[in-house]
Amino acid sequence: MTNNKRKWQLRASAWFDGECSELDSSEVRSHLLEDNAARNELQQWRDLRNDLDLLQPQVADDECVSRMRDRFQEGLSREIYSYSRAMRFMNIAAALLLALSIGGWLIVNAKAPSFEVYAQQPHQLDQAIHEFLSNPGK
Amino acid sequence: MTLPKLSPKQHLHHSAEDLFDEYAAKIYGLALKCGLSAKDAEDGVQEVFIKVQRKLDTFRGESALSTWLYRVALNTLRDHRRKVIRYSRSRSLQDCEETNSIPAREDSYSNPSLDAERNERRLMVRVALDKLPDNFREVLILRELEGLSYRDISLVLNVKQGTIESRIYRARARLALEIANLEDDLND
Repeated sequence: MTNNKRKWQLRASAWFDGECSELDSSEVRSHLLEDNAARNELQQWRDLRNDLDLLQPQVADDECVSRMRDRFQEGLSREIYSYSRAMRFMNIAAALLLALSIGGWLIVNAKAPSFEVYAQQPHQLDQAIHEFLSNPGK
Repeated sequence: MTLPKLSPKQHLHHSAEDLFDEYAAKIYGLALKCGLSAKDAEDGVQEVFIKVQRKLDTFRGESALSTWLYRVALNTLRDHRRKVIRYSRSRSLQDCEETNSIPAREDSYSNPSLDAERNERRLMVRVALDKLPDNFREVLILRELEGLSYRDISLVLNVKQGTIESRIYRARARLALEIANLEDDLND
């Protein structure tokens, strides 16, 4: 298939869908008058359009819309219920985590005696002992 | 026809319930056009609006709200349709025909033999359309059944307009081929 033919096919298709400018439309019409195959293709699209038109459904009646609304409301309530439940669980989990963190911090910091703190710095202890031993009379 | 225009910022004043009131019937029609049965279409509409409810906060107003809603609807209905097909794969041909028998528009005239012929043709077109890949089927539905412009289709599908133009052309060719094959099968 040549590029030129392809280009004309796409232009004709756009023209068929009413998507062409005035200028393009007149060019496509002239082309269609000259090209038998393009006219056949155009007829095929018209047939397809008629065929597809058979699939146009009935508009949803009030009863159907009201039924769908009820179901949607029901679904929405379920959605809101699940969301609030998830939020509640998340709040509980967050509160537990916070309590554990605070508890942990308190255990580590509040219970620590000063001697242990001092002993945690061995070089200071060594220095104090050294000073004490070097000046026993003080 | 173009998408009903709602400016991007108008979503701030909309809840999923407002959108339901405004668009439910349209989305139901879209679901039927996508090949869902009346019952499945109702399920589909519910799924669409629950998803809208979840996602409405994430809508950043980059496109019109109606375009965004169509996009959400199309994606949700595509997934719903796949689920339905998977579920009904084991069902008999009779059931499949029921799935395909969307409530068609009633015509003003009534002629039993003509109606039967139309129904047969409608079923054939439906089957042929269902055989197309998703991207072909969707552009044809949006163009031929929803009557959207190329620009609106490109916005809904988030694809360049030139791509839509060529996709519609190829989709028509493919659909014509599928219908011709089905006609051949019927004549054999």
